[in-house]
Amino acid sequence: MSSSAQLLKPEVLQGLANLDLIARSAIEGFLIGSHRSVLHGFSQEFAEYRAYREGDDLRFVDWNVFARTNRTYLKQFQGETNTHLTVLMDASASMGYASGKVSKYEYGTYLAAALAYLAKRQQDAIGLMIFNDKVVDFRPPTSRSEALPSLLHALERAKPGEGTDFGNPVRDCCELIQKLGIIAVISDFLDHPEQILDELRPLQGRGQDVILFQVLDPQELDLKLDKSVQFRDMETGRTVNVDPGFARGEYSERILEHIGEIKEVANSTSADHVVLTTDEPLDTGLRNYLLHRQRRQ
Amino acid sequence: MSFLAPLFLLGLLAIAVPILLHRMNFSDPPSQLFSSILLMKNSEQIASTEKKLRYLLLLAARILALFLLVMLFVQPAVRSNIPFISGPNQIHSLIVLDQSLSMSAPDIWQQAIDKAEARIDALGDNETAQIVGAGSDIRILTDQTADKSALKQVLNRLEPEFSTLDYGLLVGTLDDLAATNEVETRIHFISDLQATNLPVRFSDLVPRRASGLILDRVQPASQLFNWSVTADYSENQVSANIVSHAGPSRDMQVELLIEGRTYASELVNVPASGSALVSFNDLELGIDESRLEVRIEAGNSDAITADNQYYLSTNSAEGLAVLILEAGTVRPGQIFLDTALNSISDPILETDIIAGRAEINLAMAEYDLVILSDIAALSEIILDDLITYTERGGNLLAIAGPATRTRGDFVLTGHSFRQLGVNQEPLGAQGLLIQQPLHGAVSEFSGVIEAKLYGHLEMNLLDGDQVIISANNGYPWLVEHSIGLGRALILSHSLMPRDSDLSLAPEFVPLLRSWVRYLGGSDELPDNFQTGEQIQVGVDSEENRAAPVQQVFLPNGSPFLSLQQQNQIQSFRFVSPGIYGLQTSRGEHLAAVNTPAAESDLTTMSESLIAQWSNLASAQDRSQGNATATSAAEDNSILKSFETWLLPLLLIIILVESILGNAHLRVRREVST
Repeated sequence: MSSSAQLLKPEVLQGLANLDLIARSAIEGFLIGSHRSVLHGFSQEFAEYRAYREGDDLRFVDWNVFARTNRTYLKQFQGETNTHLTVLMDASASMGYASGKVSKYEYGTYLAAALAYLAKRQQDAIGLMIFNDKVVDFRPPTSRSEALPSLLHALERAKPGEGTDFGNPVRDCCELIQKLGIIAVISDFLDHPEQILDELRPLQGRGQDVILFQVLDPQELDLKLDKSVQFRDMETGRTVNVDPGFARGEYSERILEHIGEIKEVANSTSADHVVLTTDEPLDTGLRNYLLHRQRRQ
Repeated sequence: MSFLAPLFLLGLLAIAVPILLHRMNFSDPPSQLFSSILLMKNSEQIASTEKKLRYLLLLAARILALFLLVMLFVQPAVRSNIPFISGPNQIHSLIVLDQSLSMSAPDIWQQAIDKAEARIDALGDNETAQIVGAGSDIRILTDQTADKSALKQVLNRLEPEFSTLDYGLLVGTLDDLAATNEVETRIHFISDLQATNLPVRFSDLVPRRASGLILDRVQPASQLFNWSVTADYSENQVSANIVSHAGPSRDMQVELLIEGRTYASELVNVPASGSALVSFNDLELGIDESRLEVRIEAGNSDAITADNQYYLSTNSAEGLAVLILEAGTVRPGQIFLDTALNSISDPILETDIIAGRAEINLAMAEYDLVILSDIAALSEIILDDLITYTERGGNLLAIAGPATRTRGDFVLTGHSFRQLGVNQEPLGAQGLLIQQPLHGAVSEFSGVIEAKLYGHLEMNLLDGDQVIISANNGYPWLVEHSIGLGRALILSHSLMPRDSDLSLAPEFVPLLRSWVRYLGGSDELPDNFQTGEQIQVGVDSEENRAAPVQQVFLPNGSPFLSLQQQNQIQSFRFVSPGIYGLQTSRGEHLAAVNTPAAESDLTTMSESLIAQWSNLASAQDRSQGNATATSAAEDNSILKSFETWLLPLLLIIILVESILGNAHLRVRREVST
């Protein structure tokens, strides 16, 4: 494994001081190690000229063109597409589950921070909504310089708790975010797929580009038990006895089936669906995000 | 259905153990937080249904296994009707009299005779009877007859013995006898029903084939004390311990006799329900055999007087007397043989060495064993002595030494030898094969003994020869041959290093020791016997050779076997207590014979136990109003036990339990590996 990939591993990132550093380290490491084609459009390469409009920043006027043609044009670069990214971060109790060192929520915050950092680097506006069964925190998308620290602070401050309800955040998103852009939903999506579909459908109606990051713990994907265990649900508090035979057989089938259904939900809402586990490097999520963004452009 | 040992039903309580363990296993497992149990709905029904089923099967198997185990002890039995050839009206009675020592108490034996006569008088028209005496062995004393006078005549000749009786053995024997009868057979047992005569298993008391067992108890005698004697010859001490059961304290005279003469006597007071110890110290016992007797004078508080003498004997610990007949010239083979014999410590060998060619007469009868180091190196005088010695039961180890190469006949046995190889030229034999692994001469060995054989003598085999060891190229190497009452082990190979390297092999000394033990008769006779025990005497018909004991001298000194009987009678039973002299090939051995201690304890079986035995025996005897306990079985029925089915069934259940238990543990094993 290359040093950059090593840098992006969640347990390595966890050792860093704060989310700002985490996001910076993740993105720098990612950019060093990524393939060129993926990065196309994210360099500050010239893209096109655009006629000056009132209110445009005079620093970007191409004075050479003005001298030759006596017309005022602004240089526009590939990275300056003025899109914006809103991260919907699930902070329900189930996201607090961790079989290893990094919980799903922590992993989600790393991903959210890295996405925000990446977007900020592209001059995109960035916004954040943290929710569980209600909206916990909301930072509308903005391209102001203080947006990133504010967003990272909000992520650091929030703690997982309560249940999950996509209805409220989606409804708020539709009301509060008028401009079209990318909405990244980071959640474990451990809920009924039909309900998730109903709750996410308004986003599609608004024409938002949606990418669903389904963050799961390795133990949730491959439940290994050496003896019977009584599991207590972190959100509902209900219990169920599970024996090793069920964990090896029926549960494995059910979790794969559930992931498939979430994928179908994503497809039916024209959203992308990325499954991430808390033991894999962030670059999988970032790469998918960039591919998604590139397709959008 | 009835149970032969219902007390063991308490064992069913053990079934609670697996039930409790299974209940503990069904309690909730350890709790653990998990993100969502959304995908685990119905897991309990899905996973636990199979698990519960397996658990219940496992529980059932365990309960069934315990149940069957308890049933094996309880021994359930059912009555089953059997058809008798001669019809249900014909009845045959076995009138059995307990002849054990306890029946010799005053009036007891007469009571038994009276009860037997009453039973004979009560025989119906359709009844026949036989008299059976039950003492040291079970003897049928009459034919199956309805002749009452003939039965009574035999009855009046019966006497109690000095032996003991096992009721279980008695019932089993009578049951076998009943099985040979074609008519319904009932057992009428007249006894004092001593508790010490009960078998280990209560179920052995229940007849299976006989249709009934009537227990007819005589009034038991009362014994107010018991006593026991211990001897410590290393400390020259003999002690007698007297225990009083009831009654007032009493004075008793305890006397020690050595070689029939009073050595010491002591008056001792035995307290009521207490004990007294009398010790005779500093005994002057001879270095050879000694006869000791301890007597007790109990007066009128003793029901049985036959056990008031206790006999002891001492025997000198002599080694095995071995005569070695050497070839004359000192050769390496002879040195190896002498060295090996000197290294044998068990048994201790007392060896005399004589040149085989010496022209002298030898008193060979004094020797337990003669070793002939070279078959051909014998004078005619010694050869004649050897013939007499072996004919009379002497034992010989004969080795085909170097001289046998030139003079190849062994006149004593009739064998001839022919040289096969040249010195130092291997014959291709690289080992010695044990042909008779169970034979006493090689019982410590098995398979192949590594050895290189060079020059070999081929020995012709005679009728009755038994090849014990052969070279692995097939030539007989060690052969047993009978001569008269004696026997010879013939080694068809010299011990010279030029002929084989066996003398240098680690197996050589153990092999030689094994032969010496076998021929010398290392089986020691015990010093103490009980009345009723048997020993082998005269000729061992199976082995066709002399038995360890050739003659028995009774306590009064008279020989038991006449010269003619020595070849006919094969066993001797110690009928009465005393000190017997046993003539063996190694001299006289004193055997102290005492009455069985169990017979001195006159405690009878409890009423409840007698009732239980009677109920299980389930017999009907309407004609005997004075029977202690009877029960009805009007049809021709026998008790059938499930014992033979229970054990295989238990094994099957244990197998099933193991399979289910393993399946239950499979998950853990998979994880740990």
